[in-house]
Amino acid sequence: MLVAGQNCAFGDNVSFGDNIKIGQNVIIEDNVKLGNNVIIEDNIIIRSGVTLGNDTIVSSNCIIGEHLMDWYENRGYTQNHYLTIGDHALIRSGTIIYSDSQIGTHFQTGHFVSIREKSVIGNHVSVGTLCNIQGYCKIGDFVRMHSNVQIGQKSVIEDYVWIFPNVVLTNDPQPPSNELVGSHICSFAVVATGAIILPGMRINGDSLVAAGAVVAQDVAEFSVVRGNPAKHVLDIRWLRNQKTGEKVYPWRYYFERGMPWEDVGYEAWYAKLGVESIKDK
Amino acid sequence: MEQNLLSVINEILTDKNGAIIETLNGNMSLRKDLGFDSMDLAVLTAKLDAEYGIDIFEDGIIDTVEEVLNKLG
Repeated sequence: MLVAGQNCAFGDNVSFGDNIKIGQNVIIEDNVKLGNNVIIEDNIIIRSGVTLGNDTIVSSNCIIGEHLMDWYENRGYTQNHYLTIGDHALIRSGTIIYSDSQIGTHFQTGHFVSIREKSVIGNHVSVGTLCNIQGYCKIGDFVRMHSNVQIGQKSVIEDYVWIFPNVVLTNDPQPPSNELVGSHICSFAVVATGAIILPGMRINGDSLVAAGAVVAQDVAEFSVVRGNPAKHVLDIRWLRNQKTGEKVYPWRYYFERGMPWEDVGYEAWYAKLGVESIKDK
Repeated sequence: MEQNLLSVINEILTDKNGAIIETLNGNMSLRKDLGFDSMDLAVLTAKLDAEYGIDIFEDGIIDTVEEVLNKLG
């Protein structure tokens, strides 16, 4: 069943799943596919070529499948562009997601998030308010970005990475230039508030970039770096809970909320996987 | 041992661009008097463990110089 509010306009070849609720002032362009149980709130534009998975909510004032530059350059004529967002997405108000991207399941944004084209984003990713993903980048599963994170083009972020507020991943080694070099953040790394990652850095797994650090060279596995320029301080496994003195890193053994090993613990979960896909020491 | 601890503490303070101290007082708080944050405490733990084979935080958080010296024996 489709329930739609006033002042809505739907294009050609729009596919509606079951139990769709659409608010007021919604434009859905041609060749859009909505899965089952989708909620589209008010004042939203869903552009041509968008597919939204089942159980998705798009909050007010979003543009999903925003035009790429060719639309503006050619005054409305464009090649076909596509955006796919998987099941169980929650896209909060003010968010703009460009076309030509692919986003997995259980995706969640804060408010006023901007995600540009050619972004490949995995499952269970959350992108906080005011984040700006510049596109042409790859983000893995279970990545957590807090508010106002800036991800430059050509960035690669592997699974289970935490990026805290106001972090910037830069990509231009000699700005301004045409040669962009993205950084690579490996699984289980943590980048703390306000850190700046210079172009082409590799932040290896289970490392911690301290708040405010400016990373100008690769960060080794299990390394804690801080300062400007960031320097190795110690092995992360020495960091302790300040109240109890207990170990807290590698964090996957001590933190579960929202992770696939929630309620079972990382070791038990990993043992069940029976794969060598995740580095573990 | 106290001199050695003083030396280690001053290494950490120097790395932080902090002012070194001349002497230790048993009542000195690592956090409040020396200004150590969680990372500094971890560095202290790692350095003392490397030298003495003792994890000073193994049995819980300690705070004063005297407590550190007692842990080191």
